[in-house]
Amino acid sequence: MRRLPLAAVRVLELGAAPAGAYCARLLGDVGAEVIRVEPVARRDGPDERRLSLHLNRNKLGCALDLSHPRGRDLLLRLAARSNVVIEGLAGGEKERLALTYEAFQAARRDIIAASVGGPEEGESISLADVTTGTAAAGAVCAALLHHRRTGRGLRIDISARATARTPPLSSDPHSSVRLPSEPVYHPEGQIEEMAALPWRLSETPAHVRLPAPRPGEHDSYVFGDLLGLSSQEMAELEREGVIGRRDG
Amino acid sequence: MNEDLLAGILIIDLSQGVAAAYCGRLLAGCGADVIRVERPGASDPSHTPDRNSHLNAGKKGIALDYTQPAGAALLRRLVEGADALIEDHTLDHLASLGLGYRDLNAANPRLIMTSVTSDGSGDPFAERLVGLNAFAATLVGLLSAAGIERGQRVEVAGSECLAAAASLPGFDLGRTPSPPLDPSEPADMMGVPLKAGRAPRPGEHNDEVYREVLGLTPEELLSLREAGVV
Repeated sequence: MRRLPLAAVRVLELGAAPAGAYCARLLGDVGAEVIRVEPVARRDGPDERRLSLHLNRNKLGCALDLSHPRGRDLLLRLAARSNVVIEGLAGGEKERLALTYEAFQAARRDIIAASVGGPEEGESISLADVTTGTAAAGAVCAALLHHRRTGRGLRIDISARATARTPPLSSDPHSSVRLPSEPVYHPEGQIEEMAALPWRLSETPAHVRLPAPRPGEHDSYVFGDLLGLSSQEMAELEREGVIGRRDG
Repeated sequence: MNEDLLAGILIIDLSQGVAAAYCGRLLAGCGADVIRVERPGASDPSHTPDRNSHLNAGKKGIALDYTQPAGAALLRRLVEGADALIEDHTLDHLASLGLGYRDLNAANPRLIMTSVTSDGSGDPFAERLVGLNAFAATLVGLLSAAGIERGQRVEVAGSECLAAAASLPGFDLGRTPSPPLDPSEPADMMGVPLKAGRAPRPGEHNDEVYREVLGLTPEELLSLREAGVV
């Protein structure tokens, strides 16, 4: 397979509202290894789950309780092994959990930390989320180019800005467009037609390599292979509710 | 943030419409050297004076008639030293001038050529989304050039950018606030400050680019001027 543009880049995504999740998806689509950190206990409704299939393609997933000191410690150890952190923690959460830029920078001096704000995660996504996510993905790529030249990381703060104006879009903007898409097979059985990336790169074409992860699907890769925890340690952390999904 | 994220990166901007011009403006706002190439006397109806000051802020401007063979040759020389080129011409128009991807790739095998096809609606929200996609896609191309040691063509289909968003389950146009594309907009990108600058006057940087970047002699420049190429 051809080497994708972001093949050597690892992105950690946490607490990401739709804008941040969309940003991380774009980076995953062009080859980054995106690890999405989900809470240990959350139940998605069917609509939320369906959006999540699209937003979280080309990502790995692990479940981690960030409010537990050991969970926070594991997250920062993951940050130390990542090039980029995309964080969309709700207002106040960042400070409460002490997951600030300074904390990530202490974990890895040259980290690129993007704070991508926007409405809470939910079952819907707006055009503002998509434009914000796209802008954030561009800013992260600019920061990666800067890092290649200077070796320095930096912080990016992006937020979906709301205005009162309603855009003059008619009811069905995609009715007349033949949109390239590809079927994505999910282990749970459903087949989802997904829009391809709206960019064509002649030498390094993007495609869907991975369906959205099931809850905690890549725990053993993330905690075992990347962080080097033994299976005993993982079992213990799971008993304490720090990692792993309790509700399946 | 950082004004000079893209310092030292040279972008040639052949944009005519809003989305591609906005892409170039964002790259300039991140510190790239963006040279906007306008044909002498050509004016773009989509660029009102207000929009021009917004869409071309921070770029350098040269006047060059690349529909003439001598002008196309100069543009190919400019491309030799560039990292990326942004354009939104109709299919095959640039190729007919000797400026298609094959020609430019022969001049510079590491070039990223970003071709934007607008969705044609002229809707500022759609144009903004397309421009942002072209911005991100160009940077992805630049990141890949180091890994694969060659450039590539990057096509951004305007109509698909909005359709791809709208195809997401739960896409909600009802709660779709997005800032309008207008000159009063703050000089930032969703909160990320962009490098300040004003739009160039037509041909303002001719001397700098032709003499310092391309190394033309005063005699060469004079004869090109007499021929109406620059």
